[in-house]
Amino acid sequence: MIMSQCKNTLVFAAAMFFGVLSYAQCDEIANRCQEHIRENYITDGQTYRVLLSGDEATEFQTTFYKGNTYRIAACSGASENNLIFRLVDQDRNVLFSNSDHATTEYWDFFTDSTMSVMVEAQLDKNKTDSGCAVIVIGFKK
Amino acid sequence: MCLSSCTEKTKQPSQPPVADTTGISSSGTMRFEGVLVSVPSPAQVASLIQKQKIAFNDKHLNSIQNRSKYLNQTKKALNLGVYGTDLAYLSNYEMGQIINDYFDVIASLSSDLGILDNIDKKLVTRLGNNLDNRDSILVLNGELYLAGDHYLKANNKPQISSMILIGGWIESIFITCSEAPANQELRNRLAEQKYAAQNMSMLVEKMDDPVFSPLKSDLITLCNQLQSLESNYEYKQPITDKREKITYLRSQSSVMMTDEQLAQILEQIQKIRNFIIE
Repeated sequence: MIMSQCKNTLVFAAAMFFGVLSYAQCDEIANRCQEHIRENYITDGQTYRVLLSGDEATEFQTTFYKGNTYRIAACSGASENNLIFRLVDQDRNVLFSNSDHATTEYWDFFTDSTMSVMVEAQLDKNKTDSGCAVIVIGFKK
Repeated sequence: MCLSSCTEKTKQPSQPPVADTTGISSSGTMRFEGVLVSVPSPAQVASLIQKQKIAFNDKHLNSIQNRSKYLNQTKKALNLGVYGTDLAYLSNYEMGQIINDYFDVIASLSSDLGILDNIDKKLVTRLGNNLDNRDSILVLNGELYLAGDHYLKANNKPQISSMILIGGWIESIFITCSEAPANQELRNRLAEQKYAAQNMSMLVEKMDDPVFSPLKSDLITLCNQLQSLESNYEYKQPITDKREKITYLRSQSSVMMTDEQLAQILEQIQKIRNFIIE
């Protein structure tokens, strides 16, 4: 009984430790990624972050409003170009993939009609197996 | 232990989204399997209002006198979102002391929610020192809310963060719909909230705060009203400029909204906003 309680406590403590460690890792990546939209862009005020491993992917829907230029920055790991991101429309047509552009960390999008788009992200398996993925979105002033 | 936002999602490619669970795997890495939700930035509404050269109307604002009514965390969070949108709206006009007053209310509510003590003080100081510069207000206001969003999610308070987003969204569509009957661009922008409504529904459904619960059904009704609007979409191949690192999206979409639908949506937004600010 006591052994079982100790084991549970240790597991919980380890979970806390690694959880905090992982979140700290996300913080560093988020700060670095945020730099891509500092100048001339206004953040949407939200953080999109997720821990990914292997083939896992994450996606979310956002809206690009008519007449605006948006910047999406997608970062993972300590170095650049670890995260593959794609933009797809509501019918799943691929509008952009950074894998066609040396896995660049940021790209701009201009739209002359309001659009609902999905942002998909996945680790570049050639560079990393797991890690925190951060996406930030800003629109041009 | 829940270290993630309720608004994050992971999935295997080409598979349906995973059920909403959050935790830490046996290997020690966090799993985030909620739903990532993007809510339109209030700064974008402020930007549209500026482009349309719409005259200032103080009826669009939540009075700073209401601040003293907000005694619980739910009302404080919802109205922190509301006042943030108001500050973005005010940034379009040279309002002097009024802008300072709204900044003070935002700082006060942020402090009550534990945000102010846990974000970079320089950011708050910079915002306070730049209240006479529209662009700076929009940029720094956005960064302040970003820092708050980050702090709340990292400290197991994702619902507070969600309430700030919901309050900000309601205020921004309240301002939009108040001007929509007389302005086609704003009317279109209101109808285009159809796209955000699905995300808002997901956010609202996850709320289990008892103080928030009276709002839930009204918000879901609003989201349903918006989602029921008829829309068209036509795909056109985008054009990418590699040198400038920009892609021009050329697809065309539109959302239709009749006068009757506008009136119903307007009434519902006012009902929700009244509950939030009272």
